[in-house]
Amino acid sequence: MDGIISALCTFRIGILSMNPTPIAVKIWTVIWTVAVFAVLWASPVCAEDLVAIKAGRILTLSGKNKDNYKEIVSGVILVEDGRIIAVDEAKKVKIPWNAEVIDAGRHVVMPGMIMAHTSRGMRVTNEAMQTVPYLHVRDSISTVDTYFEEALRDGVIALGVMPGHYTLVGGQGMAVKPHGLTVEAMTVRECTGMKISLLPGRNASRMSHMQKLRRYFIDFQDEMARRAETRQAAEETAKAKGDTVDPETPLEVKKKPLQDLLDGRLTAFVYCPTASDVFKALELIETFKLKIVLILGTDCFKAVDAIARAGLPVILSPRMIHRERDPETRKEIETCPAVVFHKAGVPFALLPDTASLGGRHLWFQAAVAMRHGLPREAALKAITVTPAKLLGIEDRFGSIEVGKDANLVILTGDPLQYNTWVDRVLFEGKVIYDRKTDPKIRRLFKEKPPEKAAKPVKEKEPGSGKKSSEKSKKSEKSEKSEKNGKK
Amino acid sequence: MSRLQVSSLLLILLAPGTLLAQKTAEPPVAAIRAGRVHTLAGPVLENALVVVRQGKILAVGKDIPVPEGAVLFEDPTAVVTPGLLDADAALGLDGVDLNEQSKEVLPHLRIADALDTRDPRFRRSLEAGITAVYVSPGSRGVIGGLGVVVKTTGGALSRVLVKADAGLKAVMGGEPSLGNRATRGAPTTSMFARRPTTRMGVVWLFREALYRYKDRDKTGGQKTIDPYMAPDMAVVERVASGEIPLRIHARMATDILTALRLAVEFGDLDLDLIVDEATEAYKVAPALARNRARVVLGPLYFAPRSSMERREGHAVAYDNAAVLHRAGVPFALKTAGDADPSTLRTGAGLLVRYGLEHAAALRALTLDAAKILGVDTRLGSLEVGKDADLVVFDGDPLSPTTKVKAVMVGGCWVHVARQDKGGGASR
Repeated sequence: MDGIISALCTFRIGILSMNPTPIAVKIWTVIWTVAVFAVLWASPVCAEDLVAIKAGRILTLSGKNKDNYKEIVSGVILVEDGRIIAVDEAKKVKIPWNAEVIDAGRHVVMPGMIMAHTSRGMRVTNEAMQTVPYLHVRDSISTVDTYFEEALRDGVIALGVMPGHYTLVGGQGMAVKPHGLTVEAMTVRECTGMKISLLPGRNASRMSHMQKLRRYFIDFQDEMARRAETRQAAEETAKAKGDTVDPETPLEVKKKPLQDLLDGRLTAFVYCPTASDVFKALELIETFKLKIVLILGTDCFKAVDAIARAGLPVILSPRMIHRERDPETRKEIETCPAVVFHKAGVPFALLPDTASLGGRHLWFQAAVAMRHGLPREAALKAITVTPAKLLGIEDRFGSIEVGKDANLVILTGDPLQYNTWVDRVLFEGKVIYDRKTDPKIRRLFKEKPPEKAAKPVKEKEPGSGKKSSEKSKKSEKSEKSEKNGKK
Repeated sequence: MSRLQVSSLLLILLAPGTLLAQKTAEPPVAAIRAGRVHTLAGPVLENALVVVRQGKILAVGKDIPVPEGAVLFEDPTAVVTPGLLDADAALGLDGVDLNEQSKEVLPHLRIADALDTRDPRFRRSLEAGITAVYVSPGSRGVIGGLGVVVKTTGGALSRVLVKADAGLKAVMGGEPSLGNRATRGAPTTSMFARRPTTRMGVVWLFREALYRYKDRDKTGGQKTIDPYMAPDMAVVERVASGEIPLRIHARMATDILTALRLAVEFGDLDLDLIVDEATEAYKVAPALARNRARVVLGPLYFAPRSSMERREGHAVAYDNAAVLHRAGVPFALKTAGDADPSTLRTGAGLLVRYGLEHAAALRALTLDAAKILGVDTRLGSLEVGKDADLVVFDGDPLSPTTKVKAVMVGGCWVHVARQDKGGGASR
């Protein structure tokens, strides 16, 4: 474009240097100005936020049916100002000439994965005081924690960060993206809900734990009722006197979140370590009219009927398999909770398991659930669409649909396979992670020069790990002398 | 019902009959035709046949005919591999029963004497495609005792035993000295007061055991040690002659180097060194290669249970196996008693993710493991004459989405996956 404008300038100087009549100068100037504006108007500068992503396969995860989703082979996603404006097969979409094209070749595109609940990435996750609804994880998130870096490398685009499991009313959580240097830059949703844990603390029983929670809510409700009464009385006396009523003093900042929770404006994320705790969570819905998302322990699938009846969405335990052994017969029963909840029609989200090699990947958990009988579509939805809904960000995240933000992952292959890597991650149409420039990946796969010592061993068969040839004895000696030398 | 199910059902029904048939007529023959067969003894065979008779493999190949009267298991989508081997699984024992603490050096203890082959976790391993495991004493003793290789089918030890005295467990590291402090005022005769409290003490006790063996050898003038008078030295003698491999449990790089240094120090003995666990092996891979040590890697992800464990060997590198492979160090994989034994093969898949070749990962699960455990004459590959232990997968054996369809051990179908388990788990 610069070229065109400079050419126009040269052209104008050329015209002027020909000493034309004043009228001709005027006419030429008008023509010239119109030409310059025409070029500027049509130039891509005005539409630089137009991005087209071409891919071998697009997993939209946006089907209307519960288990079906639309999968597009060789498709195009058109993004304008970070928002998807078209998704379809390549031949049906016309890519505008001024769009920036990201050609993913044969790679697979899917919506960025979403972790519904995590207490990592914070410096200290559990508040020692038991009832702290006014605390917010934003003050605790450590933005430079490698946890976020790893999450992004793994294709996770949003995480629901919540206080840990060891505080009764633990505070508010938020949804963040694993990219950005400040919490503000990472924020996806300011407040996703309030964490409540039904796991009794040390030296406490379940009885006193529940009692403490009920007491806390009832005390607050009483206080609010007293407040309303005093207010009403003040209004009445003012009316009787004919005075104007003073404006109501706003509620203390500290108490606002609790009021929001009890008024149903704030979702409660209730952690139930065992199946029996699920019924206490249901009691909270009944008595205090809470809006609840359940965070479940491994054996909570036993309460699946009650959960299905109550229509609650759940976040499943990181442990994909529940094992129970009959104490007398020693017969073992294994259950995959994800399959149980799927069959009962309960929407569920999967979590990564930090205590195993594969489990720390969200996709791996989905793959394990699939091996145990979960349909592939349901497994994929449990790491994208459902967690997006639980975090209240489904209008922007979770699937590839017109109107949603272009929060996508480009993968080198099928999302549930062990040798698939995240190639690029796009947040609102912009690349925020690229495998080619990832220093860790480059370090990991850098071809190291062949080791000198490895040469003689290569001929050896694994079974014949026996006795040293002369060569290795020599090297042993040289190693010994090296060590002596160092001493 | 699929053909697979019909044929496998038939086999199960026929299984009791086979015993009778053996006495009277020709031994029954089973044949497995699969879309892909990893024999581990040669190239991968597409659409090949495995013929099995009397618990042994009779023939493997692409263009061999199905023998007359053979019960055929046919599945064009299936992938067949030899039975997988777990190079160290803490199965068949409760955690407390693994560690004898009356002495630090007890080479003559045998884990086989305490093994419960009916532990349901054996069954769990079997259903995950693991047909044989190595089980060893725990890591609280400096020299803990002898490990054993057994099949996972359960039942009498004599039936499942593959190799007795398959390795001598020794430990370099923090475990044997963990918590050994003399309490103030307590008598110094207390067991914990006389135990090692540092790595130096641990290494010294190991060294002392070998010195004792060497001294006995010289002064007594007799070449063979009376196993009744000195049972421990009798075992050390077999280790010193290379008959039993010495499996040194070492997690940190320093401990691995200590193990290698000891092997050099006792270079006059014929020690066959296997480094167990080897979390930081990637740091010292050239040294392992130089000293011709073999490695049993795992558990592949280290979840520390105590502060000591957290301190030691926390430096997990996912390309550990890839680095070892490049350096030419042979290795096997172990679960170390993971609750979910399928992590053995899915973990191997993740090693491929971090740079290991697929073929090398599969070998580490089968043939290399068999060689390291010293059972490659019977297990580890699908070759004529070897045990008919094989696994039928419905896809790539290393993939986390792949299911085990059926498992054959000793020519019998010991596990056939049900199609739908109604919310139950399956492998």
